[in-house]
Amino acid sequence: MYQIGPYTFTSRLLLGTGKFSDFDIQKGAIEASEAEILTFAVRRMNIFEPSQPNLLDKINLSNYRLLPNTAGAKTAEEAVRIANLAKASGLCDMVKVEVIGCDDTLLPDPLETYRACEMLLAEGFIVLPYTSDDVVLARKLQELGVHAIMPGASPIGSGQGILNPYNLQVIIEQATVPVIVDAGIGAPSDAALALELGADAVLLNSAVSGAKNPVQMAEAMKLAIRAGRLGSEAGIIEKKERAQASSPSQGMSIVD
Amino acid sequence: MEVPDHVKTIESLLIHLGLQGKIVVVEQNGVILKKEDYSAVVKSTDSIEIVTFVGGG
Repeated sequence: MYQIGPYTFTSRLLLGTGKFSDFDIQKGAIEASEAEILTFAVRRMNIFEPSQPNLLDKINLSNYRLLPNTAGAKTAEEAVRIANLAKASGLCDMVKVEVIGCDDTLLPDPLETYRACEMLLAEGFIVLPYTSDDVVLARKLQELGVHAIMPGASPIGSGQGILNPYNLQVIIEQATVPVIVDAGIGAPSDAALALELGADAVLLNSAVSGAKNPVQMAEAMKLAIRAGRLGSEAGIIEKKERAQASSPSQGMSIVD
Repeated sequence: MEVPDHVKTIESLLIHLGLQGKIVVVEQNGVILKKEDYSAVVKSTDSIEIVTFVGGG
């Protein structure tokens, strides 16, 4: 179990709801993932087609803690506006702060992200910033009072996995709030590695929604995350330069 | 956008647009409304923004 602000969670898989090919697959993937937290985006309503199905119509929202993101924001002020729009729904008080600073790489803007967090904390939000894997930024955000840190494994949607396990490990070691590895996870082994390094959870979207079989991938990710966590808790042996025999060297006379 | 004369409040605007019961948040002239503010009067000069939740990561 781990805690974000006042909320306690058992599932270490957070699932994004974007880019699923259809709502039934999305629903199946959500169920298979056993996620307790779902992310979504805030967008202008198409009032000319109000009957357009919405993903949230298919899901019993009361079973989940909703985590709106501020995707689309390029400044702190825009992020705060999106967060306030989401909160006005009365369905959520957590926010994933996502302020993109580079259209090409979709990497977050550290300065605007920091400012947005400062403003949102002052307004009483439960704040989860999506950041790069910058060790110092993670510490400074933590000192600011954010409720979790969400460093990216690699660029959003790239599926490249954890590009800098060293940075991630240092972020985790110095963390006083949950660390949720967000963005860039591709294979279940990437998710397992995040947990093995000591991350509290992983946020996935494209790795599941973009898989050939999203429902099965959601299941695979769930198991990988569980395995990674169990392994981390069990204590992984240190890597050594040389072979270390696992069979005893005494009583060898039987083969002499 | 033109609306019929009977649309006088935010609530009646949402009904007119077929959005009652849907997850929406309304911004009137840059001010985000709470549900209890939906009785607010709508004027033809108002700028109304309606947002909803969509899939996202």
